[in-house]
Amino acid sequence: MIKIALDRISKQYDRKTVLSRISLTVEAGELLSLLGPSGTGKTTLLKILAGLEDADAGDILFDGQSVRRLPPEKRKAVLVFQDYLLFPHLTVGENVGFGLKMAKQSASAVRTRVSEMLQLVQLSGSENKYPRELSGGQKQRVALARALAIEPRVLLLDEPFSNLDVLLRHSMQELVFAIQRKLKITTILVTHDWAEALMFSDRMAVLDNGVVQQVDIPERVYRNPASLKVAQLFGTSVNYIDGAVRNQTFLSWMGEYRAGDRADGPYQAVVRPEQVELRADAAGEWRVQKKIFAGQTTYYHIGKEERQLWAASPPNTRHELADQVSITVNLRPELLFPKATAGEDQ
Amino acid sequence: MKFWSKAFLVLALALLALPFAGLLLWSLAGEWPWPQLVPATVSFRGWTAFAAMAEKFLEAIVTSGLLSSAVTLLCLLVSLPAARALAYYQFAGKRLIEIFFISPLLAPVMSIAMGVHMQFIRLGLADTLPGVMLIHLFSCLPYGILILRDALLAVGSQWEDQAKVLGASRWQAARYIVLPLLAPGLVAASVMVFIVSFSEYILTFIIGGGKIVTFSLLIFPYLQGGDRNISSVLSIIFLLVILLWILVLELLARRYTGQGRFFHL
Repeated sequence: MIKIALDRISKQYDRKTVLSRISLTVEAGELLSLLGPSGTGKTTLLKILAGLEDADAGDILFDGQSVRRLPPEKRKAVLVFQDYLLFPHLTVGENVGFGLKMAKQSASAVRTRVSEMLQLVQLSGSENKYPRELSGGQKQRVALARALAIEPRVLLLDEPFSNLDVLLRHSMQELVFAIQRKLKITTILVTHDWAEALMFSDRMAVLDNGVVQQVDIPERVYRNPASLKVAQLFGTSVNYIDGAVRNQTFLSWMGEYRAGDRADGPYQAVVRPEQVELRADAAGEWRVQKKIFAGQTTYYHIGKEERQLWAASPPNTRHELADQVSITVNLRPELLFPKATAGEDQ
Repeated sequence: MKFWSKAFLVLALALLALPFAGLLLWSLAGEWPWPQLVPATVSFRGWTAFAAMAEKFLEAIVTSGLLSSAVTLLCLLVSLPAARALAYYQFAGKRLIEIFFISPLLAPVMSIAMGVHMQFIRLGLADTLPGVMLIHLFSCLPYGILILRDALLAVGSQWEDQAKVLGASRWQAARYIVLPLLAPGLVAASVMVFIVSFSEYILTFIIGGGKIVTFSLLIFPYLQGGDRNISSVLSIIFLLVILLWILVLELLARRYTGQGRFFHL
């Protein structure tokens, strides 16, 4: 188990800044997920950690020791790529044993370790199959076994589940993260799947525009996002309400809400659909304009004159199209963000 | 298979087979009066003439085979790093360098040979095997670099990265992962380069000064002389040597990348 510290890592491509003085620590044995919109340098950061790319400036410390000058083959920071990259001309056993073979371990030691690793990922006895004979989930598990076989100091997962269908994804997530916990290996997971990051990581780091926006445990990142950018990561059908804070009160077309200790000025409130409660009400001013059934939740698009809102309801409530409803908005002061002034992009 | 796919396949086969069939017929033709589709009489004149001179030709075939094999090997050794740089790295002036690499294909061989000849005489390379190899290498490099660059692009650099993070040194990654995956491209480049070198006439003639007698040098007068029997026989031999080369390469590649053969646990 080692602790990773990134110290002001910067990287540019073609004069475009991808990473700007990123500082981040990952505790020993921790699973940290890296979240953020596409093109924010998440994969670049993994490659810098693995030694496949060099940072323009800054340092990387494994247990306090700089590894920036260490070539990838000596770093033991294994990157598992999104498309697994199992060597197609080698068998499963040869793939898993590859790193050990490169380290010149004896054939019998390699064989033992390979069968151990395959057992760990529940693929015992597949040594002699070729990658082309495996399903997506099996390839994923072989890639993991191959990475773990060399007892890496750091495991780097680049969107490991994005190529799997939903059902398989869930069982693979359970398996992979259970193994990570069992081996207590320091792991960085890059993902687009915010639900995955919320459910499985010890802490999350949100990257945007090459800067770390927030690092915290998942619940706090979800409940108290540090910026509008972070709040926007979670879920769809989110409502954005413009308003202003005067005397610790948020004023908008929805009415007045407590704004905590926010300073006066223009603000935008993020209202997630589950914060909008609907009640059937014959005299209600809102009408259901669209209904999207999504199993555990049903989403309603409601309108009142030119105003529109998204609401989500648990399955036991039911509204139909054109039903009249009244609403309660549970606005939360933590989800109020200063509105970008003109000229600044949101 | 769809009808059109089949039709095109047949057409392609016919385009390949017909000239070869023509060669075969001419090598065995005795009298072949004008309107007839096949020769009137069979004659082994071409083949017996060849058999009579077989020793001389065999010597040239061996010279050519060794020369072209060496050129191919050298060419791949030089092309691979260059192709890798062009495929995987971005750098200023990359387009210019690519054009520079292709330029031997664009300039007339004759003018290049004349220009280089004087230098080679000064350097003592004219009329020598190394000189001929060098000039062959020059005309082969564009093929080697371009084919390998495209093959490397198709394979991608991610395999080397994956091997390295698993602890493979640069050489281990090349030997166990990249080269086996690149094998089809290496075979294609070797075949092309070998053919270019094996068929080279004018450069061998000028730089070798007639001292280095390759197979193409030897058969050229017969092709020009208009004896269709003998030139057909020689062309067939020429084709067979190249086919043999392709076969050997394929076998080598298969042996190198074959299932469970190169990487025993």
